[in-house]
Amino acid sequence: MPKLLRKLNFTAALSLVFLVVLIGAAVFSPWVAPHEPMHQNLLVRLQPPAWLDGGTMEHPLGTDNMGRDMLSQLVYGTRVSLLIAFFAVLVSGGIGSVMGLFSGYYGGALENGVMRLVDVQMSLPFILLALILLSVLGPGFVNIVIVLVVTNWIYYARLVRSEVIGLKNHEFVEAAHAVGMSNLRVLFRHISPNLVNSIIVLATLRIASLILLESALSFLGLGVQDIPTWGVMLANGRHYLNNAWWLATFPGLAIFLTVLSINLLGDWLRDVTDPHMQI
Amino acid sequence: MKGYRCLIAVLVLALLASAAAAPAAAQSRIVLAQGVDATTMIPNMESVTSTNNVLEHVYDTLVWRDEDLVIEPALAVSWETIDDLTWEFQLRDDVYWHDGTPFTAADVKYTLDYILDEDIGSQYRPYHALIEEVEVIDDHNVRIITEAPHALMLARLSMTQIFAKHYMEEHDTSYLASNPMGTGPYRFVEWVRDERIVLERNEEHWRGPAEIEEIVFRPIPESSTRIAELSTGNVDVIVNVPPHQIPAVEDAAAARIATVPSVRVIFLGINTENEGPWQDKRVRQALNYALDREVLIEAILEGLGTPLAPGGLSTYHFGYDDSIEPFPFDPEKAQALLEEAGYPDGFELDMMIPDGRYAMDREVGEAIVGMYRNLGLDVNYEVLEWGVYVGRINERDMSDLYLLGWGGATVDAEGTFGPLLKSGNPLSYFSHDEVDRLIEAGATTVDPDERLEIYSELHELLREEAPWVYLHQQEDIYGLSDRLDWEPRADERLWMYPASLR
Amino acid sequence: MKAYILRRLWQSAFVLFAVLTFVFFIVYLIGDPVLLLIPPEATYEDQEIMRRAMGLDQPLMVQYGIFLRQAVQGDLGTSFRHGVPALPLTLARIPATLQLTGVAMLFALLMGVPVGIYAAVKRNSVLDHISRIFALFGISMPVYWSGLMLIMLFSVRWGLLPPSGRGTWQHLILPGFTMGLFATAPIMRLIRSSMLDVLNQDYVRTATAKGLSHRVVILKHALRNAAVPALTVFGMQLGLLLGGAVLTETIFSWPGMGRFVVQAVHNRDFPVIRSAVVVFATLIIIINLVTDVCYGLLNPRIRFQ
Repeated sequence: MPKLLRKLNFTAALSLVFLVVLIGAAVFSPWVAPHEPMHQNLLVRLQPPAWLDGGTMEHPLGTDNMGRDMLSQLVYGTRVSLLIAFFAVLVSGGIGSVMGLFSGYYGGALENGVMRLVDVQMSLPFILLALILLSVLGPGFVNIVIVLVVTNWIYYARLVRSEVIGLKNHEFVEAAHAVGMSNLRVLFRHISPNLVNSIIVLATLRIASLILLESALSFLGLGVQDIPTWGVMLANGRHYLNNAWWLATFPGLAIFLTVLSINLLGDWLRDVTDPHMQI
Repeated sequence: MKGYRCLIAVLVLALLASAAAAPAAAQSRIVLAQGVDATTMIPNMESVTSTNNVLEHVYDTLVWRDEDLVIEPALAVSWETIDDLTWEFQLRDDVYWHDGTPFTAADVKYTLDYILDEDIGSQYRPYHALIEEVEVIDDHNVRIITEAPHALMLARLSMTQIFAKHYMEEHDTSYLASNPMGTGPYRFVEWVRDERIVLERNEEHWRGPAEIEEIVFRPIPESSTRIAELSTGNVDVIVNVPPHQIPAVEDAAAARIATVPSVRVIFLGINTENEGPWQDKRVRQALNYALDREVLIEAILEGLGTPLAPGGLSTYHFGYDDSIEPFPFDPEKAQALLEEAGYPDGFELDMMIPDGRYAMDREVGEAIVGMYRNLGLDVNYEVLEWGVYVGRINERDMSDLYLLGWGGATVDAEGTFGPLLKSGNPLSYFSHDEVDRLIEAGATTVDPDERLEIYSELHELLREEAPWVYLHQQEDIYGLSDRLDWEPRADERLWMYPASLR
Repeated sequence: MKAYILRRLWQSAFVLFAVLTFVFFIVYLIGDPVLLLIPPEATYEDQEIMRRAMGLDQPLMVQYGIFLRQAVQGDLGTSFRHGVPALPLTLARIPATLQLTGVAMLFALLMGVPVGIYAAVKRNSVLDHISRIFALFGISMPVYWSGLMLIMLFSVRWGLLPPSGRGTWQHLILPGFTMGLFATAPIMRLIRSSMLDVLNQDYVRTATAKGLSHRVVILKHALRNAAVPALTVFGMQLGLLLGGAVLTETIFSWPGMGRFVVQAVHNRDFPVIRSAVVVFATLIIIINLVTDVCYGLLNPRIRFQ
């Protein structure tokens, strides 16, 4: 790990710092946020940020159309947005990687079955699948995670499978077999560690798109309720671009900077762990 | 390398090949932007506003409503009720279908029979279910016989578009669904799904030709995009402008806002079938006293709307009793009523809110949640997409409070009270013998003065029983281009016949 | 080769059948379409009558049987909402969606390829970072936000382009660009990493040592090598764009399939949802098959297992 940190370049370092701050905000929300995020106060609705006319330090980033404090919503929103993305990536990554691992290693009918399942799922447009699943399950934090998991495991499955196929013909695997190691042990002791890097890189990149997907679902009215998420804030704020630009701009910026940071970090990770780059 | 060039070449070619020339401008032409496209060109199949707004220009009805929503003659010049169950209509003799054939009573009979045919699956069938038989007396006289006194006959007929017997019999359903032909002030020109519907003026219409020569309907789902189109002058009418986007329209150089109090009302239904404190009418009254409607309307609707009085009818409805005042905001009285009923510390309740079905429905609902929480009630709420919401209604799986709106297609008290308050109906979660009796009486009496008395009594009773939390009567907000001389109607119809360009 | 294609076709038929069955049943879980097709005042009896008229009162397996029988004849049912056959309705939408996707791809290539090349050649320089951040713009912003912002700038404020609809080539620019932003980054990344791979190979170093101009070296050798994985990414992006066109189509009122399908889901219009899924699946299968075949053609080493 320390060796890795030494290789950080400027943008990657900046991204890392930003993400650490975000995670801090998520963990320490109740202390960081000045107000209850969902507390309405219709009398102070649409108040501009503090540095504009009509703004106060009471609500540094202004209030939304229901009088809820923007800053508090943003802070608490980190929890939901990051949690959803994190859990979704963890579960879909886990399931997908395992599927990919077994189908790539054992091949045959198992591989065929899994890959055809992947094909079938890729044949269904994401939005449609999400709509249908959410119509069935209803909105809610857990259900959104479920939808994201169901629609995302395929990326991991495909990646891991192709890597495993590449790896399983290498000498060290043959050597392990020659020594008499069972298949499962070979899988877990020897092949898996080599995959971890690629999976992590993929996961980092997928987190970014998951945050955006959550925002898209909010746009379509399928988002989480009664808790602030950036997606919901942005979907709500897009109607107020003319007279209250801060409703959409701040969550938009938050999403943008977060996703950008994750992407830059992921790109850097990929550069640094790619064996081809070790010049 | 070649691959890339090839790829780019193909894409550019596809791009150019698909570019179409813009349509040539007609002499006078207006564009209307709705949120969704029409679904079918066969009238009387669905009660969908976007479809009907198009079809009512191509077809005529037997009777129509003027700008004050009073019934006036249309295809029928006069009518009389021979007895409680028999209506006779005298039809115009100077009406022709767009293909030149004369309009006759046979077309009226065909239309109503078509709607009543159970195999066809028309959504209008329930509206006319009381009709037992339609008789053609001669070419211009038709008799309608009902099973029971039908107070809403004229109201329903004002929504029923008459189509041509010969045309419908000559073509199959697929053709008819894309090619309408009627007697209306505009003829159908083309329909490119999800893009545009084009209508052109019928010079021989019996009302006289309209001012505007061509009308185009464009479906534009996103509200901000509709406003952008209005601002750039590409569109002349947009509907359902959200209140907070009014400044965007007013800022635009050649556009203005027009508002009109609507026939639509918004309320919170109280589910008295669920066990809970709200089964006690004092609690229901308390729920009404606890809301500050003025602040709600001012804050969420930018002041566009009027508090709804008990009864729950819009000011246009037949049967509306203006002597009943809306519940005032009186939190002390609310608290007192709660204590009297035995709930001094409040109670828990669930609420359902639809999203995107009515103007600002979600925001209104959430604001109400806030207000009730301030009263000390423990409110859990969910926001549901409309299809899901309707499903819950149908499965009778409603929460304790549910936000609902009711349009006034009939502009008649029976159209509201019957479906929503009479026990046993799918949308009714309230059951009270006296209320039922009065509703039944109002529906089966044909004499208007008698009905007004009945509804007056009903209003008093409803004030006392408070089956709903009465919220507001909506005000519809339209964005219009400055060059268009037209005022919106209260019944949400986009009727362009009287429109002209400045 | 022929054997491979035949085998893939057979597998695709199976996939299509699976998709067909899956989508037949799953739509029932969305909700009851009858409720959205009757006026709110209707009674329970009215519901039953409507249900019968639409054939929804039959047992599920009977309906499935009817569905399959009609499907092999090319009939996927009649739309509940529109009253016309669902498949032709859906198919009529494809040109618009393909057009939009094509233009988006064009923008993505025009923006992603040069940036990718540049980033690889000038790796780790300030300009590398800046140009990469620029390319990442596209996937870091919700599409409906960038779309609405673009409308506000280019249509309302500057009056340069029409806000929505379809008709002239100007109508294609804003929605195409908005969607193209999305595919730019993956393409940029791919070009960059492929080129970096190649640039480090011995034969490139040799060619540079031999004195060939830098530009020639890059363009000839590196790009050609990057073409192979680019194809895979291209195929995948196309699929993603097709599926993800929904938001763009809604904002720009583009009459494509995505928006049409979303409305169908709202309306619980089962036949339309089914046709849309089948059509979409078929397109994806075709794209995948074509990319895999081209891939195999270009790279004889990774042949057909």
